[in-house]
Amino acid sequence: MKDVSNKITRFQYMFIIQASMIGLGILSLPSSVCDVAQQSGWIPTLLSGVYPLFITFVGYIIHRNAKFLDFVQLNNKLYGKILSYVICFVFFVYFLLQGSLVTAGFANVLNFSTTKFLSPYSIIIITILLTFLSTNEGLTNIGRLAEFLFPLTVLLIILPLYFINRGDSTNLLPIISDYKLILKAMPDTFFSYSGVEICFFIFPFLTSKKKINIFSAIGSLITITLYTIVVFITIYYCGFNLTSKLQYPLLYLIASSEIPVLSNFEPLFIFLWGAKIFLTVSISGFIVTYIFSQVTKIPYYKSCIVSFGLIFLLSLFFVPDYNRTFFAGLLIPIMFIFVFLWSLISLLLSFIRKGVSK
Amino acid sequence: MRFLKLIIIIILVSFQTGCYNKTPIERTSVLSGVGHDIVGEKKLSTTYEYLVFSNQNKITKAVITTTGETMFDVFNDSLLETKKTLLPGTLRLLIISEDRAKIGIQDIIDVFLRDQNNNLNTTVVICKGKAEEILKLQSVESTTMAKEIEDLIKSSYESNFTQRDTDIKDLFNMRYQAGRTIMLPYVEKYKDTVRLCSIAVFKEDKMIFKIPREDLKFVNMLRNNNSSGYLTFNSGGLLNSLSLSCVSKRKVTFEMQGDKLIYNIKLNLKTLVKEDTLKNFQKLDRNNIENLRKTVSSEEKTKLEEIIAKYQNNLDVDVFDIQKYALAKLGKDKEEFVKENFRNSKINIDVDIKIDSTGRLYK
Repeated sequence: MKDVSNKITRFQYMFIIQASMIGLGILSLPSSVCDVAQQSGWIPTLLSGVYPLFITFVGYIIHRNAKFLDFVQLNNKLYGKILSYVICFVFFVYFLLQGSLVTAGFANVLNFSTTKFLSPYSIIIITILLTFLSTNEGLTNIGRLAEFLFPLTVLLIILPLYFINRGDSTNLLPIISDYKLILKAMPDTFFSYSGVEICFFIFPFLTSKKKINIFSAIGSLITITLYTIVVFITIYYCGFNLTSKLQYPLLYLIASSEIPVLSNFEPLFIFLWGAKIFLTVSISGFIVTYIFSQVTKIPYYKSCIVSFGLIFLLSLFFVPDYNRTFFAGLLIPIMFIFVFLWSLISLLLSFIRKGVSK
Repeated sequence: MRFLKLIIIIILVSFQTGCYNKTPIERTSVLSGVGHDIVGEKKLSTTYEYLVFSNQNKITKAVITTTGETMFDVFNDSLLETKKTLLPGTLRLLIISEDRAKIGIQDIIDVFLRDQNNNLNTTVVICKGKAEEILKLQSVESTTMAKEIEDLIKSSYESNFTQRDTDIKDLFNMRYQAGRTIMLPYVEKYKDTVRLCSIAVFKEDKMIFKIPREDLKFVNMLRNNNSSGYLTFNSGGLLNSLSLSCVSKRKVTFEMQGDKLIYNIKLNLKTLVKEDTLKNFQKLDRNNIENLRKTVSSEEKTKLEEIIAKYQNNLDVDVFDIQKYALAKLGKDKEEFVKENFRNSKINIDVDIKIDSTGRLYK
């Protein structure tokens, strides 16, 4: 089997960072935020944008201090061999969950909206096959895909703007009624930005490391803007009460648009967004495969089959959407805290061990 | 190798499409209108109006009515009668009878909001008498009554300052947004067709009253932003009047003085003189127009003040859609407080009529 190529350019890195966060959150985030933060739901979304910025920045510093080692070697250096295995395992499970939750969610949404005639399982099979094909050639391929699919993100930002003069500003006022509610809504919005942790893995593959923080920041900011606009416009148009009742507020918003010729804009939107989902799953899948092949020393292509098999099996568990939200609500916060602690401790350790390597 | 993989995927995907166990297109029918009624005390009745394609150039309509205990009981029974599958996504009109609206429409709201198949741009109206009777009328200007009533509602935007939020998505907004009242167009059977005659006002999900025809224009003017219509000022006798065509802009501000809630409604009307047989002025020059503007503004203001007093004090219902401004300032959790104090609050109205043009004539 030929070697996989994992080298990516800085622009590709930016697009990967940007795409890694877009998942189901974009459809369901307004609902969960409005449930807690009411009409000021867009503020926690904006504020939580600190998380991807922080993670990418910290990731860069850790890697700079450790001279851009591979993720497994980096952990070996910082934590020793045994702990490194544990950490790798947790990251493996984390991205496995991410991948399968997104795949299952995608199947659920399709089944709910446009392709009611398909069983979610067949959607999962096809999604897994497609993402497997795009992943088994390594990160370079994913980088190219991310670059190619980026214009769709711009479309996703533009679409909600159709409603800009159709809503009512009273829905957004008073801007802040209770600071506690905003803080309370923050964890939910943090989870919507999860997936950005991929940056810990891909820093070593960058061909050039100059001004990389700027690229990270731009990539994150695009997604932060997208999320904030979506939440803002949804509240502006529907009001927080209706938004918190809906399962996928953005789909409702899209369906209520009156566009000449097209009777319903929803299928077109799903098509655009679906392409992003394939990318998100591919990115998670790549990380799962990468960790697996690094730890077990099994060649990349074979581990790719194993990891996508695992993603496939796991995603079958999450098929009705209430099932998915239940497990996501249970597992993601624990993983999230772990990743956050890892980044803080590694940051500290990387400064301490910096001298050792010299 | 890569090519082979792609071929496999494409073949797999193409096997996933197809219409097994789906109704073929020649056995489906386009649902155009749905009417909701109540029979006796505890029975719901629903009327479906749908298109019948009898041959290539002839399209007619058919109407069926079924009864049952719940909305889907009714729907289930209707399938026993219809010969073709009805597609719900094409619904143009939802018509609810007054009696049905008075017992509440929460089930209708829930069904239309929950079911992903339902169109969100369906027009909703309330009707006098039975919805069944209206849907059974033979349409003159269109194939179905549903299309005809939809056209009626959409064309009504041009006059009487009628509301534009008549779609079902606007109904959801009115139901769920803080501090709002559901207000829907009210139609009645007139000769052998229908006409728009009033507005049905709801409290939560139950209809409570309809606005009398003589108040309609003024209530609309107070409620709707960016609406248009005609104003006429008559000074006694026929052939002695001034008519203006207006576009109104509404601006509402809210303030609290002590425990008193104060709403200020400012109406800016941009008008064109369409008719002037008052013969008050020799010439419509700058000074005269200024005088005219002041008189009509104050006249309009008195009329609107009467309307406000009537609906605020006698009926205690926010038909002007202004409580949302109070909630925008006080916070969304004060809904009860604002509703309780609506009768005691003060509503100031300020009308500013601007005459943009006097038309071809200036005398």
